[in-house]
Amino acid sequence: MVSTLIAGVILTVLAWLGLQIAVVHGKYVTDKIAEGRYHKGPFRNRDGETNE
Amino acid sequence: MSDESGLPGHENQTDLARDLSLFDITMIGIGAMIGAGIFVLTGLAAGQAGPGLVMAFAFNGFITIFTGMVYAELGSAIPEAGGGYLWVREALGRSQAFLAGWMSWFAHAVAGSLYTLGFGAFVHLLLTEYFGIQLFPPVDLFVLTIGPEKAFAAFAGALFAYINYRGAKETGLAGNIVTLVKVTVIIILIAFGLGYIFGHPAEASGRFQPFLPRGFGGIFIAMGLTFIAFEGYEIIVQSGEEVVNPRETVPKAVFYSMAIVVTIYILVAIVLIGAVTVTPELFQQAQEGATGGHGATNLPAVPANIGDAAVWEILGHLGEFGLAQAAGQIMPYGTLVILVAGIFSTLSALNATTFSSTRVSFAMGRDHVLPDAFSEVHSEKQTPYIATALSGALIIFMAVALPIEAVAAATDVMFLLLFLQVNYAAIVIRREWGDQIDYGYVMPYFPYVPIIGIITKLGLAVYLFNYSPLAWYGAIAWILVGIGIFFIYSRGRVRETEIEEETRLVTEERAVIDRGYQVLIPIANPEHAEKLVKAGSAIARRNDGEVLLTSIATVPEQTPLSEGRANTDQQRRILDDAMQYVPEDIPAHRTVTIGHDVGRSIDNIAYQRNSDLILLGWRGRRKRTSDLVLGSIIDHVVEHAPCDVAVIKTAGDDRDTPHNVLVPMAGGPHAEVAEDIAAGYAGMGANVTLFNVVTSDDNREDAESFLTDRQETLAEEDLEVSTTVIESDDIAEAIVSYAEKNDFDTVVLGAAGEGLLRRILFGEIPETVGEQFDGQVVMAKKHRPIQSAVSNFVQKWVGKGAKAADLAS
Repeated sequence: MVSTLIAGVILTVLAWLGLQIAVVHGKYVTDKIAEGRYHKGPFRNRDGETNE
Repeated sequence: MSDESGLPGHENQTDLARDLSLFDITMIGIGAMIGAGIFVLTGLAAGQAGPGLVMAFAFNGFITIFTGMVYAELGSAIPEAGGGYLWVREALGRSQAFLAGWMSWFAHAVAGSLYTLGFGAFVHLLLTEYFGIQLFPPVDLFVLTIGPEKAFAAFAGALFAYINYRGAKETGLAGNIVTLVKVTVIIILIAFGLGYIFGHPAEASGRFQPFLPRGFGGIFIAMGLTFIAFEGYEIIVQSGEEVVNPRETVPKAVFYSMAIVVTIYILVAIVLIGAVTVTPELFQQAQEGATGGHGATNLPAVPANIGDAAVWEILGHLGEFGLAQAAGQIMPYGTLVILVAGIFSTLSALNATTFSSTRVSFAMGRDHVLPDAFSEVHSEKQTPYIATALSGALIIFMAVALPIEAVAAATDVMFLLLFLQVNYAAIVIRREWGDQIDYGYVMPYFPYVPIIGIITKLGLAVYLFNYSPLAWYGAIAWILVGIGIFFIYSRGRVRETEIEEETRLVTEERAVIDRGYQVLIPIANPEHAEKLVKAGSAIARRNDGEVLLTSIATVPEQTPLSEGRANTDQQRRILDDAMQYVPEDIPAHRTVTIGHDVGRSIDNIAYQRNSDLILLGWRGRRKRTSDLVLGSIIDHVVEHAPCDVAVIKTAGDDRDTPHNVLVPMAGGPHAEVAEDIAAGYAGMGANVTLFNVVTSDDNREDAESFLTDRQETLAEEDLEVSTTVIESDDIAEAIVSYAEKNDFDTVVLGAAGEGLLRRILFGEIPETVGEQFDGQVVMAKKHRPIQSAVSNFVQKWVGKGAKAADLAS
């Protein structure tokens, strides 16, 4: 049943890559917010305005 | 030193020095996440998932992104001891937080039990195999069987409870060293294992087939079993009080530790499956394990023939010894190294979980949702000694009473359910305070990330039922006990604490006499005072009662209540004027209070004074926005009042005393309150008509007999009322037009029932009549504690989540 094994390997690699991408993105967002250059989500209308 | 971070109006007082770096806190996270799970649980998990264990760990790593993002987001903004419990408390209120704290206490404690059992097993194996010491055979004690392993486990539990009582906390440096040693041992294991695999590729890859011997079911069980690793998030966040620049450091620590730990888990799984042969020695140990009560109990028996035995099966039967025994083949002195590393790892994890479970119960004691004893601090040791003792007792009891796989499953179920609540809290917090909070990290695709988190956690938790129903029964039993304690003990305490923070009495003038029945009349607008006070007095008279007039001055959420004192003169004057409308035979008290929110303050006063009815004025226009029905104050009071509520439409009719009162009624608890009010008016000399509209589906005779019944009951009190039944399919319209055509000046109705998913205040019919009828309208609602508690609970979860989902798109 080689195909199950290969499918399993592919899924494993994809899941692991997904995690690493999320981690890199997380670092990116954190750095951007620290620099004051992030403008999505709750930061969308900041600089004197609110989201209400 | 007061911190500016956290939620608006939430003061964070911290006196701890900030001296942990990103590296330190990442190591804390890695140490907590590798913990002892990798030593104790991989064997059990391999038995469930087979070679697919590698994929199970990868899937866990993917799924944990969603909760990891939530912890990173909330931890960046509110990095305090209390962690998930604190966020649930802020988002969903103290009542919901009680359950989160209660489950968190249990989850951390049971995790501690798991580590004591791991410790006990490893020490036992070390002593018997390497030192040749023979220990006592298991002893039967009533329903329990206590062997040397459980004895060691109980000893470790007691020892660390004592250490925590003494206050010796693992310092940053010592913690780092233990973590580095653990990680180094595992990396060496991985290196040797990968070396073997690359040296024997054909043999190694053969061991990965069949990849899914127990199908995806086994994968999910393995995932659920090992998810406990991610309790490490809680430890990272709780250490946030001592970290430099937590806004940036906490989220990064969460992400880096996730990335590193999942990779390590995957590599360990690869090595465990690929680099281990089923030797006769291992085979024999597995057979002993299967009979000695170590391995998983849902596996088929060890095959009779060693040639038929797969590695994963053998590991499953070895249970918590799986990794240790397998390591013997992978590297020199592998078993000994893993056992020793495992012993240190389980002890350090036990220390952390004893500490964290104590801290949660301590926080709950301090919040007054558990008895104050939990928050008692030893005068000398400066530790919460009672919370420590009770947490320690819980840890020991679970370790001794349950088999390790049930304990592991119970821990996982509790953490999964806790994460579920935290995911939900993140949605509510972002929705309600998102524009005011100082986030260091925000998750993308809100609210889908926490929603996926909720679904996946729930799925895994439910799936674990297949593995260990006992774990679920234990979890449910614990939750039910918690709910019981909450309703009997904590709810009142929560209420009192909330009242203290929310509302404060400024002045009070009491009448000379006190009577049992009390009508609370909040007065804001002097123009409506006469109508409200006269109606309230009529109702009080009927019930031999008194009235309490109150006026509330508000201060903004951020302002401490003491600063609102200066504004209460107006409130005093309003009450003084209102007093002229109170008849002489009715005792009347007056209070002026200060609060952050009028609706909540009214509820609090009613609760504190044991009022029986709250009487409110309403201008007569429905708001019908997604948030409001009749108005923010009325909505809140009607939904949360601790007693009956009546709302009087104050616009329209200038006459203050009703003369002709129409009372549409169809039975039910709310109609009782309406009837009571109408009887009060009858006592003042008004003409009262009991009224019913039958639709084409209804039975006219039933309606007539019902009204006649009520008429006779009132006649016994010397109150004369008439009755009328008409037919119409549009009830509200029929009521309004009948009232107008027949010169009624007042309509009194009961609410129409509780809404569960849709928000219903009084119901479509009463509210329509209230809006359309030009004269006075009184809507009444009976207090039904259970129905309203269920309704509030559902509204909190469905309503808030639905609102948040709407706003995100």
